[in-house]
Amino acid sequence: MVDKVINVGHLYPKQMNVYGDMGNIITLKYRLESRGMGFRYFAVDSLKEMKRVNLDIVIGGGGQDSNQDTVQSDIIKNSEILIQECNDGLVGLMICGMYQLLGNKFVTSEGSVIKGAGLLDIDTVAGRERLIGNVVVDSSFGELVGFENHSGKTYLGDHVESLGRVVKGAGNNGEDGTEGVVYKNFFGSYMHGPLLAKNPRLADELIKRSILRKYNNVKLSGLDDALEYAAHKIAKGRPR
Amino acid sequence: MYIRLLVFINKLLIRLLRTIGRSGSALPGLLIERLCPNFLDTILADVQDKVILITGTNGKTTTTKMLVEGLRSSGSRVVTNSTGSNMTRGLISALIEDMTYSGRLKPTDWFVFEMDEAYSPIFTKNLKPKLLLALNVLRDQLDRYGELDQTARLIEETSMSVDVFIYNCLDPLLVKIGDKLTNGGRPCFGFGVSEKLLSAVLNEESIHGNVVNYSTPDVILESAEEGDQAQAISIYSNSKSQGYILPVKGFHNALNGLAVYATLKILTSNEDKLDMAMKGIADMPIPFGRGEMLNFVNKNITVALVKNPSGLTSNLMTFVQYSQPEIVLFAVNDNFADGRDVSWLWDVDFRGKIAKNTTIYTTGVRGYDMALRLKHDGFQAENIDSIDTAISKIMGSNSNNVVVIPTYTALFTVRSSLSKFGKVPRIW
Repeated sequence: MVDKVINVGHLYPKQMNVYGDMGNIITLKYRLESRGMGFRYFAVDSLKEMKRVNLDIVIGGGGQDSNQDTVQSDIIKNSEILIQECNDGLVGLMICGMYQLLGNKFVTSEGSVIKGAGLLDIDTVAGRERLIGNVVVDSSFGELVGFENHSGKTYLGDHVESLGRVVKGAGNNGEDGTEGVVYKNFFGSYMHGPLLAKNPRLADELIKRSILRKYNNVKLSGLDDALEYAAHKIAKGRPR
Repeated sequence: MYIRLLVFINKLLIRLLRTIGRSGSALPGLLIERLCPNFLDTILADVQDKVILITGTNGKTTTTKMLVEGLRSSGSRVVTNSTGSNMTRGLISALIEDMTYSGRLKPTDWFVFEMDEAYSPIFTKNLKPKLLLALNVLRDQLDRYGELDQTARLIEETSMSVDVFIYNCLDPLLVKIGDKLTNGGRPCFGFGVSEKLLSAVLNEESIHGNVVNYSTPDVILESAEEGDQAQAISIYSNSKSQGYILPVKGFHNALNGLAVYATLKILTSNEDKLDMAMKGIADMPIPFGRGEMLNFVNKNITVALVKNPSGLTSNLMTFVQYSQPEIVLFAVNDNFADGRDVSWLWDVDFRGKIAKNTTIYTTGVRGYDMALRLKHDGFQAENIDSIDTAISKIMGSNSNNVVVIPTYTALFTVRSSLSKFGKVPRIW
């Protein structure tokens, strides 16, 4: 019998699931179960499905351009559901493509504007070059390592904070030194890797916030993260 | 004249490198690439209708080997870039290797080139090859090409320059290209899988996502049955079935064998010759690192290169889940040729594919990443910092059956470490 169960929703797993972003969910599962807590996985193919189950954490990943049309139309149609949940304290982690889609808008290279969910106060503009390589970020959840691969350049609005400052790599746009976003309990980032696997402090931050919201009290036991930090250290030292 | 002189000098250089024991497959081409950028255009201009290109994200080297083996055993003279070096330099090296010292091509029936997806549109800018065989567009080195869509665009661009486009009907992105070409009145030829086999495959593996024929194939794989070191396949074409033996295992290789059949079908109208070519493949030595088996004193070592999630999944099923070795070594590097991003390790599901009592080691620059990935699927792996130390440790153990799964650059280190313990065939 487990006394705490966390429901993790995976947004658009069929379309938005490249570069190992599934690993963020695998990491959450491991870190919950290793502490004797329950983990439940829910594939969320439309935001409407979020009404049927009480999710504690939602995870979104990167995707191919050609896959994003159906996702984008569902997001626009049902964004209110996600916004309401976010305001209610739902914990979220959105990587790359999903990070962009939750913003205000995406401006393509032809200048046309694609509407986003409007949950995160960020704007993304198509860039000319692809920003690819290892990333190191200094954040209030410790040093973060990851791998970015995006051509969109994201700029933060007044209502959000950045996840951290870029030490190596391009980050949000390669210009202002910011990487990712934090808004309430939602996190956005360009870092694949997968992000949570080699940054266990951030993974535990998501878990803590979700438990606090659901059970009002939280105390996480420590795990042996020697392997996590060994891999983290190597990633940090790799060339761009 | 200038080119001929360059060829002469280069052939001497290759000989010299061989004598001192160096054999980097791309190195001799470097000089020519620098000094004579249009070398390939010039040399191949008169024989472009004899050029065959093989591209795709997975299985290029094995498929190229099979096609070459088949063509040769049916009496054709073939020039190929056999080492998997598949951009300008590798092609230049392959050609120079075969040219006369006076800088001329020998009379040759086919030039079979495996080609990097990103390089193929550059190659075909001024050349019009006979055909392009497109194997698949799976997740491969995405950090290099950006996205699958981009890879498909590169293949589409190349397809516009060839006489015939041969493609995998299980691959939606390639089928899209085939449809477009067919609608434009250009000759296309598809290979696919029978409905019955499809449902069997669907039950066993889902590495290709939802496996369906996205268009009607011209040649059809009816069955694929694995033995210990080979598999028997049956191909349906022109309303009859034909059985063949392939020296390589795994469903992905059954498809590659079918792709070779489809290509031979376009290249020869003579049924007997086609049959002879397909039968010749059975005796082919397995390309280095592509499930290559090395037999040292008391050990069977299988070396199976991986580049992406689908390749790793199929290698795990073919060489680990099926054969149950005592030791598995993963050697993961993140150099440019490997793909700098190792996130893809998380797109592979290891659960149930490695027996619980297997000893697992990880090594390579990203060995810790691999060990971490395995830990999350419930496997304990020991990371050994250097590939050389890892190989020594394995060779010193009592275990007989070993599977080594390296990424591209790790493969070279693995082979050179192994060569200290027994004969590892030279790459060329």
